[in-house]
Amino acid sequence: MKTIASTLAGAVFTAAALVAPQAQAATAQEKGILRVCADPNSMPFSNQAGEGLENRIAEMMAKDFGWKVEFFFFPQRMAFFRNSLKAKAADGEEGYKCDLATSSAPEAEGAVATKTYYTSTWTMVMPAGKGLDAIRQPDDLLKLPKDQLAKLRFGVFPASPGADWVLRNGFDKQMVPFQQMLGDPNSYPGQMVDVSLVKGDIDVAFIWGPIGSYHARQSKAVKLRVVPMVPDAETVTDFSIAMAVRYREPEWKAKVEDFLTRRKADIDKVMADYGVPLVQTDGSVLVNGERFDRPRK
Amino acid sequence: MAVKNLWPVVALAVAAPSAALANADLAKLMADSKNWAAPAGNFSNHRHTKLTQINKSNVNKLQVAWTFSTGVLRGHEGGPLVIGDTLYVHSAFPNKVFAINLADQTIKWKYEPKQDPSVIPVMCCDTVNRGLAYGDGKILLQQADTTLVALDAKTGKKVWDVKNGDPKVGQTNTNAPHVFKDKVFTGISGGEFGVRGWVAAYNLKDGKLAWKGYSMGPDSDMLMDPNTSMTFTDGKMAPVGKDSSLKTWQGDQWKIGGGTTWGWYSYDPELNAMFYGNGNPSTWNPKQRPGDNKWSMSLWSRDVDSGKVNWVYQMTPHDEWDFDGINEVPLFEGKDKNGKERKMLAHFDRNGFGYTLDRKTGELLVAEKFDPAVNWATHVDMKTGRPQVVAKYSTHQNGEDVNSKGICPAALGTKDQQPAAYDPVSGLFLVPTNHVCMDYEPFRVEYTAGQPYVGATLAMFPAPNSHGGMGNFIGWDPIKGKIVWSIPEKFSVWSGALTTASGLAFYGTLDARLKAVDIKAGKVVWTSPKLPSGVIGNVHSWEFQGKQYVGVLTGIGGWAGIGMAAGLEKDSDGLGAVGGYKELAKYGDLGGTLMVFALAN
Repeated sequence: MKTIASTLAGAVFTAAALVAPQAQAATAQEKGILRVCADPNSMPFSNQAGEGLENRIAEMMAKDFGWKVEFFFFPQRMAFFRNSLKAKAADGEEGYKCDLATSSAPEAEGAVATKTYYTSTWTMVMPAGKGLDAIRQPDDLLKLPKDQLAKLRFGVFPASPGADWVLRNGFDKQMVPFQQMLGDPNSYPGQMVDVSLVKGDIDVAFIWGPIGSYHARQSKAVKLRVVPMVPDAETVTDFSIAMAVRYREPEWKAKVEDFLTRRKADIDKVMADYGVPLVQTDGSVLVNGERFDRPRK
Repeated sequence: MAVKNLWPVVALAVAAPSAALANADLAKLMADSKNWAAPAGNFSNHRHTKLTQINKSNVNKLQVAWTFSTGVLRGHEGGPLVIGDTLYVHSAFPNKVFAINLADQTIKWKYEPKQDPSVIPVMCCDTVNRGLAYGDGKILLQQADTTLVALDAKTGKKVWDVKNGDPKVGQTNTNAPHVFKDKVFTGISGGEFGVRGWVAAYNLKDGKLAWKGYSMGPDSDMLMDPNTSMTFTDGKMAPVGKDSSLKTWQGDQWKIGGGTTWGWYSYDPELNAMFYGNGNPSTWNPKQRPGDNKWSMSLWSRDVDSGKVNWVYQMTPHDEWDFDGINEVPLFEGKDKNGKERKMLAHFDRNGFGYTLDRKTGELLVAEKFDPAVNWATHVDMKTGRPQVVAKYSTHQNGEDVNSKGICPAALGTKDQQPAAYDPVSGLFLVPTNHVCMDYEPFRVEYTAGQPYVGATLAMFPAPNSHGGMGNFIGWDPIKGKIVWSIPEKFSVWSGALTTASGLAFYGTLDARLKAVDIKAGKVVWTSPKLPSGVIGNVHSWEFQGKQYVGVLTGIGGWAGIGMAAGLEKDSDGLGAVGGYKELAKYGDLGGTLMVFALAN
C-alpha cells in the first residue's frame, strides 16, 4: 500500500497562520481547478486512490463547476488546516495548497465551516451470531444475562460517546481504549473494526457510524452488524458534518454552499452508496436500508 | 589581548571515563564561565553566567558580533552550546547540528539527520527542537522522530544512536537531552495522541537503556516504591502507597493517560537526584476521568542511577484547562521564610502558581501566583498541597453546555516551556510570562481522524483590566512567593531568560528584540535593533578570546506562533488592535538565525 511519505515531503510550515489572508480569489480557482484538502488514508471518506465518498463529492463538484479536480493529501489528525487549507502553495505558485476541506466539524477551528451536508451518529459494531443479534441500541446490552455481559470487551475512543456510555454504566474494567489517532500514516480508526473486532480482541466496537458501517460492509469473513447509539441529555451521539474554507473568502464559501444545496439529492445518493448511517428528521437512523427507531428518553 | 582558549579536558574525553569521571568532566566545563556546556547552563538550570564584561554601564553599547542562519524556517527554541573554541547549534526540523569555529565562524562540521517527513504531522505544536547536550566528548541530539544520537564533538561522526520511542504510535520528541553523571536523560511528547509519558536514561557510553520511568500505571512501570516514594500529604511527607496511580483512573485509561515529559531537567549530584515536571492527562474528557489522574501534572524527583521515585507532587489534580506541568525545575539554596537552611527548587507552572519545594524531601514550601491575573484557583492549600478551584472557572463543574468566560491563565499557561533564569546574587528568579486569559467553550464539536466528538475550544485574549499586553517579564522572590517587579510586554515573553553576575537579565521578544534588564531596578536598560524574526529561543552567554558574547536563536514559531495565532484568529474581527494576532504579523515572518552580540572592540 502506498504510504503517504511522498506527499508530505513538501509540507513545510509557513507563516500562513500569522499573516492576515487577503480577500483575493486563489489562483487555482481562477484557473478552474478545484483543489481539495483531503486525508490520504481515511475510508470511507478519502484515500489517495480517490475511492472515498468525499473524493466522489469533490469530483461531482468540479464537474458541476466545469472545473478540474486536484487533491492535496495531508492526514486530518493534527494541525490539518494549518498544513493544508492555510498553507501557501509551493514556491513560485500563488495561492494555497488547497482551497476546500471536504469534511470539517460544523464550527471549524482555524477555518470557516460551510453549512452541513449530512448527519450521522456513533454506532456499535458487533459480530453476528455471537448472542448479540437482538441488540438494537446500547442499553439493550444491559438486559443481557449477567455472566454474558460481564465477559464483553468494549472498544472505545477517548472523549467519544462510546466511552461515555461504557463508563456511565460501570464497565470501566471491560473497556479497551484505542487512540483517536496514531502517528503511523498507514493506521486509521477503522482498525478497531477490521482488525480488533474481526480478530475477536474486542466484542463491541463503539465507532463513528460512517466508519463502522463501511468496515462492517467490507468484512466478508466475519459478518458484522451496525447498531446506532441513542442520544440523551448527557451524551451527544449525532453529529453533522460540514466542509471548510479559509476566513474572509465569502464568495467562495457561497459557491460551495450553493452546490451543497442544489445537489443535495445526489450527495444523499453518495452517502447511501457508502452505507453511511443517516439520521432522519424524526430521529430514527437508516443503516443500509434498515431503520432503527430511537424514542426520545 | 587575545587569549588562546585551549580545551583542557580533551585527554580525559578520549579515554572511556567512569561515571564519576564523566560527571567531573562536564561539571568542570560548566564551572568554566567561558563555556555554556549544558542546555540549561548548569545542572541546577540557573541559566546564569558569571561573566561580568557586559555590565549595566556598557550594555547599551552591545553590537551584533556575528550571525548564523540554520537554513531552516521554523520555530527555533533552545540555544547554542559553547565548549572551548567551538559553538554547537541545532535547528528545528530536520534537526541539523552545526559545530562552528568561534575563531572565524566557519563550520567545523555539520550533521543533518535523515528523518521520515511523516513525523511532521505527528507533532502538535510546530516542529521545534530545544537543543543539544554535551558529555564524554559527545554532542547529544534528540531528534523529532525519537532517535537519540551521540556525535563525536570533534568530528561530528555518529558514535551511537538509539530509538527512544515510535512516531507510529504518536510518540515524538522536542525536548533537549540532558547529561547527568554517566547517563543521557530524555523524555517524550505526544499527549494529543494519547502517549503515556516517561523519562528514560541511556548510557552515555553506548546508548543502552539504563532505566525508564513512566508517568502513570502500575507502580513497577513508574519505578514507584509504595513505601519509600513520598508525596506531600496533610502538611508532611508520606509514602504514596500501593497503586497510587491506578486508583485514580477508570479501568485501563492510564494506558493512554498522557503525562508527557518535554520540558527541562535538573540534577543535584549530592542527592544523586534528577528533577522534572510532566504534562496533562491526555485525550480523555474530564468527565470521563473523575479523580486526580495521578501522576499527571506533577513534579518528580528520581534517583539518577535507578530511576526510582524519591518523591512526587501533583500540582493540578484532575486537570480541566491543559496546564501541562513540564516547565523547568531550577535548583537553588538558601533560607526558607522561617530561616531554615534548605536545598530547594522552584517551578513556574503553566497553572500560574510559582512553587518552591524542599528538593530533598519534596515538602511544599511556597505556592503563590506569579501573575496577579490568575483566577482559576484562589490559592493552594498549604496543608494538602491542592489548588482551591473556583467553581465558575471549572469547566467541569459548570457543566458541558456552559461557557466558562475569562479563565486566567489561558491554556498556554502563565508560563510555557520558555525557561526562567536564577540570579544567585539577588536570589531572584527572572521569569518570562504570558498574561493571557481565555473563554473556554466545552461544548464544541472536534473532528479528529474522521471522527467527530464533543470537545472544547478556547479563545484567548490579553488579561483584562491590565496593561493590555499579553506578557510580562518579572522578578520573583521564591522565598516569599512574591512578584518583586514586573515589566509589561506587548506579546507573551516566549524566550528563555539569562542572568549575569553583573546584575543584568536578558530576554527576547516575539516582536523580534533582545532586551537587557537591570535586575535590581527592574527596568529595561537596552533594546537590540530589530532581529530577523521573533524570539522563542533561550539567551546564552560565553567568552572567547577575552570577549563576552550573548547569543540567542531567532525564528518565530512554537506554540507562540501557532497556538496563539490560531487561538486569536477566530476573534480577530472583534478583537482590539492591541495584542491581536494581526499585531504579531506586523513584526516579522519566519526565520532561523543565531544572533550573537558583544561589546565593540
